[in-house]
Amino acid sequence: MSPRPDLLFVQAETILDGNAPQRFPSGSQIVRLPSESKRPLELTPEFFAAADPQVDFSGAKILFSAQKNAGAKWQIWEMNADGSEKRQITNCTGDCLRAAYLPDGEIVFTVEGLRSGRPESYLAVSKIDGSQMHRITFGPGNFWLETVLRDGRVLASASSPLQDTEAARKTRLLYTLRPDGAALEALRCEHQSSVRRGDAAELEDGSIIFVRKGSANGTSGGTLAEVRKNDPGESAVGGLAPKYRSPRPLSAGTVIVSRSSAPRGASQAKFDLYAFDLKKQMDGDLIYSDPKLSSIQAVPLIANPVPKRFWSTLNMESQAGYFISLNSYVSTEGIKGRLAAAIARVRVISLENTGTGERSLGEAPVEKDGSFYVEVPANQPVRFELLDANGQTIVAERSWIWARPGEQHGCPGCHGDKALAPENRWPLTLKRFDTPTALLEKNDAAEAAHAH
Amino acid sequence: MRAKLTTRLQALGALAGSLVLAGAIVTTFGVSRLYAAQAGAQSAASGSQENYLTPVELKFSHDGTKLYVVCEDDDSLLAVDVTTRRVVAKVKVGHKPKDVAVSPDGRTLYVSNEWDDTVSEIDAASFTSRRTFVTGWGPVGVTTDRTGKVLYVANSIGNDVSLLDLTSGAEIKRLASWRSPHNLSLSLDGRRVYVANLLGHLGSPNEPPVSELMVIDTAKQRVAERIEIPGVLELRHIAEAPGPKGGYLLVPFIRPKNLNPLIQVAGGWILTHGMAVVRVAGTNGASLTKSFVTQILLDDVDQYFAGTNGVAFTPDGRHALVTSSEADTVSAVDTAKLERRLHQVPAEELANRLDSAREIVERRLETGANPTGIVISPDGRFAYIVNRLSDSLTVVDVPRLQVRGTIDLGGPKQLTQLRRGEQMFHAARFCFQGQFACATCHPDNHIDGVAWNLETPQLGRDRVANRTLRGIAETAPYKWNGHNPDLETQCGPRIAKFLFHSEGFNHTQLADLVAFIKSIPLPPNGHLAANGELTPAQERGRAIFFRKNCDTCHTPATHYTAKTSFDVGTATKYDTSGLFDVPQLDRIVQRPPYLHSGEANSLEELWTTYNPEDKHGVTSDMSKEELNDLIEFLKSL
Repeated sequence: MSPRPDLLFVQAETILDGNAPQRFPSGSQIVRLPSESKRPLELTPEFFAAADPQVDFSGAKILFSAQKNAGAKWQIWEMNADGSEKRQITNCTGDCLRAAYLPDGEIVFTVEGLRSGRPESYLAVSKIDGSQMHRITFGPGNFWLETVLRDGRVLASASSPLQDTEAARKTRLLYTLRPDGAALEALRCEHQSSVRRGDAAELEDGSIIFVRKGSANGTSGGTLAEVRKNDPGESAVGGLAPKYRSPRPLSAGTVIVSRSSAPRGASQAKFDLYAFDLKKQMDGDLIYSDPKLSSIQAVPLIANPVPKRFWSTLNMESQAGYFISLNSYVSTEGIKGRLAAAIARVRVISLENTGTGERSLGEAPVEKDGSFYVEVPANQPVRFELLDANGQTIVAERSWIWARPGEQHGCPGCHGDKALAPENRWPLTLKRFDTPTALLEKNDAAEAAHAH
Repeated sequence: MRAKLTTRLQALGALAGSLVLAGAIVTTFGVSRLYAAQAGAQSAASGSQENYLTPVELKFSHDGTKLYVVCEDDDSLLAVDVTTRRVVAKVKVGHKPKDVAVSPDGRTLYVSNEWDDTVSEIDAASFTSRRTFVTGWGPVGVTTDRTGKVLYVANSIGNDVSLLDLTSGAEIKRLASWRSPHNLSLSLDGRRVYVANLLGHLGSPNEPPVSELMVIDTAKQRVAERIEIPGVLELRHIAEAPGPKGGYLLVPFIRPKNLNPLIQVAGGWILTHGMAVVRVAGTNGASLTKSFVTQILLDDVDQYFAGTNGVAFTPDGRHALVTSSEADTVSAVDTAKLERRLHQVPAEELANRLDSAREIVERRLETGANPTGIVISPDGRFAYIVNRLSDSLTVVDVPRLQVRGTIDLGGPKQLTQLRRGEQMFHAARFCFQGQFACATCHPDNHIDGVAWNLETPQLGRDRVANRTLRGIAETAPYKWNGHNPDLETQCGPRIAKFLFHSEGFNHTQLADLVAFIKSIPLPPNGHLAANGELTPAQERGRAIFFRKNCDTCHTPATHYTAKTSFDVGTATKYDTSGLFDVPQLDRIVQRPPYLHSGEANSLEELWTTYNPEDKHGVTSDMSKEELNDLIEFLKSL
């Protein structure tokens, strides 16, 4: 058995759930536990709170988020693996946290702020020096960065459906998107409500391990779950006691987890670091325990493979993006995965940039094969409603999604089955010479037509 | 470049001739080592790709003691002792051998030589060449009938199947196949020969492709049935399930989504891979009066197994092993679970489901580079997989479904730039989730025969037919719109960005890949006499070619391309420009469909159907006879 590598983790007296900026009311620090040692070395003494350590691809640098003083904004920092040469990367007006390295000298992170007086979080990308910071998620749903997958996609968690409502906030799903913000989709379509998924990490075989929490779990942690590579659904890992946080790969077949030592439902649980055997699906040896402080977010201090790089297909000079649906009849909301009612049109609804209300951008024809192709304002949340010939709604999508400038966002169906590849068919909508239907402005004519 | 290539090929031919003699004496272990040493010395001296073996197909001897391995770049057939796992004999055969058949008595081997249009008859005991038979053009798959009196040969360029009388060596007849017949398999009861085609029917480019599995009645020596397998291409192998629950065929395929706009990869958007399950009429009792085809995928939701290729059943029929030649993997399918899955999911949905493999695939095992053919020992203990670009065999312990080892067949151990490039060409790992490689859409470095709806500035416009990679080194610019000045542009970030949707090749890998593509030669041309003289019809057609000024755009000095674009009135209503790169005409007859759109299914249609305004040369005044002569000339190129 190979020796345990050095570990980085976060120590804190109190860890709160939910609102990330206030998650360590008594402060926190990042420590390094050398291999063969039981005494962690403090790496961030100059901060009130520090968290979210991520090791770079060489294993020499650490990306982290930190709060200089209590009440100060969180910013992204980088330091050497021994804690030296700390360097502030971001200068966010809100809170910037939960960062991860991307290829080509970029980072992706979560930004928390207020939008129209309501808390909002989204993902942003910047150069490693903090320059060229730009937003990559554009809809409601309170996106949090989870990790960057080895295939180059960004893994995020957000509410389900992607709405800014109290009901939606109770359920969180895992989503993937490209580092340029294109190709947003749910990693898996799980419909169990009031389950919040997060604290995710990728395992060596490409599976995703994460923590599931019910709404009543409080601060005691959650259960472990996994999206196994090639499994269309998710599955539980280990027992049902909600006692885990931050599972991270440690070695082949083993993850390191933070496990609560307090009884279920206790308000002040303390977390210690344990190995967890994925094959046996049970806890392994205690790795580290502090008599007073919780230990969470442990990561091995080792070199990591560089994720694959995506060549962006966006055209940043464009004001529009595009959605093409190959067959809107293909839907998990229909009987046997297919909508029965004849679809005539699709209505595209936009969420105003102020976040205050919806408006119809207009309608587009849906062809007999279920295909449609629309042009919508880029970077603006939109959702779709399928209509029959009388203008009655057949299905209304609830999630807000977006298209990036010049993005051709393809959908095999309308909330289709992720395990069903599309048919090989020239979509009728692409045989028309008036598509994509431009829905860039409010389409009064279409609305008036249906009003009558 | 062309001259250098010719010189190389001639040199290779001379080398092949000298090694036939060496092969004739190779019958013992000691001589085998001597032979390996000779081959190694030649390899070190030249350092060129000709020394790679490139094993492509293999068969068992009837007693189960030997494997016969066909090596296409070495023009040889190897005998491998399965006990010692060593090469024990080698014989030189013709050029570009592709398959081997074993006679029913096990005493004779028949090797198809694709580039010689011949079959080599080999004495299995002495491992020497006896006779050479002339076949149709481009012989690949071979099998004998149950009596051993007739050899069936799939002619990939001739698009037919030759039946050879093995007593006289004469051809009895040819049966027309569809495009590029590839693999032949004798049914377990000996009553049929099945023929799998690499390319689909020539049909409308607006419809999904349809491939064909041809059934030949061996008693009547006639085509009994042509079974259509809709939506798929590249049927590379056939295996028949043994045992009481058997009788069905497994035929690996790819399912292209060429009609969909290629804007993403995830979700099986561009390609999926799997196999057809074919129950042939008359084989499962009297009740099955009509052949029945279902399709099932071997891909997973997050990972694809590109290049489904070889297939073999265990003797008890419990497992079928399928190679994925661009994923370097063999998948072990539990046939009982396969049967359950076929009953559980409606056939029309099953063909596109990405969650079947997790139900039916018991194990995935890693192979060497570019695994193609696979056989399982008669006792069912071991499977042997030929690794085309590793010069090796992977040995699988079948009961345990574990890789047991690798058999080194010889060949140079250092990878040349061309070999690295060829490995890149066949590697799907550069594509998002491993969905496809360059070779997936360019089988045998050629075409897949369909038109693709690539991501273009206007989605759904400018659909283009796949173009061959054979002999294209000096035909720049590339793409139908002629926008790519060189292969580095064609295969670099453009491929990564718009097709692979992943990182693609780095600079070194790209250089290797381009070097390999530039090295892809043209196959021989059976329409041209060996001495290069034209037939009277070809001479007449040549005169017409120049009289009609075809050479203005199809310039002979540059492979019959002007290396620029012209508008010859071939744009469809879905094209945004009428300007298209002038295609080279080398081996034009071997690559229908024609035009950028893939609409013309024959050379004649170019002028009779798709040249209404005489912009593609003035052809409306030509007689049928003149058109025929022109076509005959084009066939000679």
